[in-house]
Amino acid sequence: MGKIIKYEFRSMFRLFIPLWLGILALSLVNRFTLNLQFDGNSLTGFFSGLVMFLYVMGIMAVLVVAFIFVILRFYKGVLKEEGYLTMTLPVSLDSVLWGKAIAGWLLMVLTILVCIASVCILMLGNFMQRIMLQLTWNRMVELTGSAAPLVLIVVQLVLAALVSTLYNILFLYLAMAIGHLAQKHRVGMSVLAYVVMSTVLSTAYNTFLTPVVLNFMMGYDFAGRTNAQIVALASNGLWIYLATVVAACAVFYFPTRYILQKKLNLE
Amino acid sequence: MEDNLIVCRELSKRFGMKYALDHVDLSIGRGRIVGLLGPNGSGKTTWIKLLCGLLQPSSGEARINGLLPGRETKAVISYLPDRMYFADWMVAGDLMDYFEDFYADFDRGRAERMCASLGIEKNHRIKTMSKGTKEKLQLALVMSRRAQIYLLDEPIAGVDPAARDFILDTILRNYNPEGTVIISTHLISDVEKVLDEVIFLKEGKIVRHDTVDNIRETEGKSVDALFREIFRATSYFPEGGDNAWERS
Amino acid sequence: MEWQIDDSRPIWMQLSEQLTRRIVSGQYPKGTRLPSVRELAAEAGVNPNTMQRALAHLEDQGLAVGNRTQGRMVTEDEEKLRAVRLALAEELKNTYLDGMAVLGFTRAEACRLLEEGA
Repeated sequence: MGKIIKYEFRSMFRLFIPLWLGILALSLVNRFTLNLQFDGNSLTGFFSGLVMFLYVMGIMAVLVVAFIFVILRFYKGVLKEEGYLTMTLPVSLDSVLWGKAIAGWLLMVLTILVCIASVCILMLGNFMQRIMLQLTWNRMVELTGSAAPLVLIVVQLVLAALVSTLYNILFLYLAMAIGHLAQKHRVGMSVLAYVVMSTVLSTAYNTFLTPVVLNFMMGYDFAGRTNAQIVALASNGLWIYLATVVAACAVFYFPTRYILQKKLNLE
Repeated sequence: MEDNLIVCRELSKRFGMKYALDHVDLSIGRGRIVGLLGPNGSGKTTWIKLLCGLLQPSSGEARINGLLPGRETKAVISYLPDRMYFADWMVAGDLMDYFEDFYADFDRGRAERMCASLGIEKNHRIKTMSKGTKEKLQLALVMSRRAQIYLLDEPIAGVDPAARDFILDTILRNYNPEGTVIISTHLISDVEKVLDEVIFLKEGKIVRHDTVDNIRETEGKSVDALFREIFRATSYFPEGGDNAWERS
Repeated sequence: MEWQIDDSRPIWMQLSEQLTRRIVSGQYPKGTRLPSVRELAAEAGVNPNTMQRALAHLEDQGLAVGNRTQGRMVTEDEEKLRAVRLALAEELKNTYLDGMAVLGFTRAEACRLLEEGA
C-alpha cells in the first residue's frame, strides 16, 4: 500500500505544491492590501477589493481542484485505461483502494490546512485580532467552568472534519463503482448513483440520526441545565456522529471492493 | 511445480446472454511461444483478461501455476494490453521507478538500454510522445520483466512493417526463455515463424490447438493458409451466400 | 545470405537446410563456434525452440558438435563436410536434369549445354 501512496503523492505534489504556495502567497499580498484599504482612497480601496475577490476565488478554486483531482485519480487510475496497469499489479485490491483513498484524503486535508493557514495569515496578522481570539476562548472557559470539556469538543470537531473527508471520498468511490456496473454511459450513471444515494442518505439522516443526536446534545431541554452539562451533552452527540460516519465509511467501502473484485469490466 | 503453466477448465465468460468464451479447456506448458489466433470478437482479449484477473469467469476456472488469478499470479504475468495504460503525469523515469517498485522481476538495466535505443530520455514526458513511441515504450517495459508468462494482446495490430519487425525482434530478444509468451493476433502470417504452437479461437471456442510444425507437416500448408480455411465460414456477407448473384 | 522461409514445409527443416548451406559454403567456417540459439533465432526472426530443433538436426547429421561449455561448434570433419557438399550437389544436378527432361532434352544434350555455357 505504501508504494501505491507513494505514486499518488508523486502525481499530486507536482500539481498541488505550486497551488498551495500560490494560495499562501496570495494571502500575504492580501494582508498587505488589506491594511491599505483603510486610508480612504477609493482607488486603493477598489484595488484591494479586487485582490480580496481573487483571493476568495483562489481558495475556492483550489478546493474544487483538489476535489476533482481525487475523483479523477480514482476514475482514471482504476476504471479507465490506467486501470489496465493498476489492476494487474501484484498488490491486493485493499491496498489499491486504501492507498488511493488515504492519499486523496491527505490531499484534501492538506489543502484545507493550507486554506486555514492562509486565512490565519490574513486575519491573525495584527495583534488585536490575536488578543480577541484569546479573550473569546478565556470567556468560554469561564462560562463552562473548566477547559477540559472544551478541548474535548475541539478535538471531536477536528476528528469529525477528518473522518467526514474520508467519508466523502469513499462515498464518491462507491458512486463511481456503481456507475461502472452499467454497460454504457458510465459517467452519467455514476452521477446518477451519487445523486440518488445522497438523497436517500440525507433523508435517512434527517429522519433517524438528527433527532437522536439532538436528543443527546440537548435533551430537548435547555433550561435548568448548567453550561457544563450542555457542553457534555454536545460532546456525547458528537461521539454518535463520529461513530455513524465511521460505520458509513465501512458501508461504502465493502460494496465498492466487491464490485471492483467481481464485476470489473474495463472498456 | 506444476507441469503446465496455464490450465483452463470449462472456462466461460458471458456478457449478458452472449458467451464471449464458451467452456474452454486448455493447457499450456513452459518455455513456449503461443499464438492466440482468431478474428476480432472471437474471445482472445476476454481470455487474456481472465488470466490477468481483469475479469472474473462466469463459470469454470483458469489456473496459473495451479493458482487462481490473484496477487501471486499477477507477480509472474507481464501483460501488454491492446491500449495505452500510462498516467499522463509521468515521465519515462517515473514509469521505470513504478515498474521497479511493483515488480520484483523487473530488469531496469534492460529497460534503460531499450529506451536508449528508442531515443527515449528519462525526463521525457509521456504525454508528449507519439503514439508509436508510446507503444514501443510500453512493450519495452513489459519485455524487461523476467516474467513466467507474457500476455501480449494484439502487439502488432495497426503498425507498419518496420515497427512490426521491431516488435517481434524485441519480443524474441528479450523474453525470459523459461517463460511462456502468448501473442494474440489476427495477422497470422506475420507471426507464424516465431510461434511454437497456435490456438485457434472461433466464437469463444477453441477449434484447434496444435504445434506449427505439426500443422505444416500434416496439412502441408502454412498456419496462415489453414487459418483462412477455418475462418472462411465467417462470412462478410451475413445474408447468406458469399456472392450476391447466388441470392438473386 | 538472408533467411528465407516459405509456407509449405515445417520451419525447422527449412532452417536446418539453410544452416547446412551456410556451413558448407564457409559462412560458418569449420571448427568455429556457431552463434547461440537465441542469437540465430532473433536473426532469422523465428522461435528459439524451432531454431533449437534445426540445430539438433545438424548435430544428428554430424555437421555441428554440441559442447556444453562453449556452445555448438561447426564440425572439423573434412570428410563429413565434403560428403554433405556432394549430396547437395547431387540434388542440384538432379533438379537440373529433371528440369531439362521436362523441356525435352536428353541427358547428354543437357550435359553438353552445361559445358557450352560454362
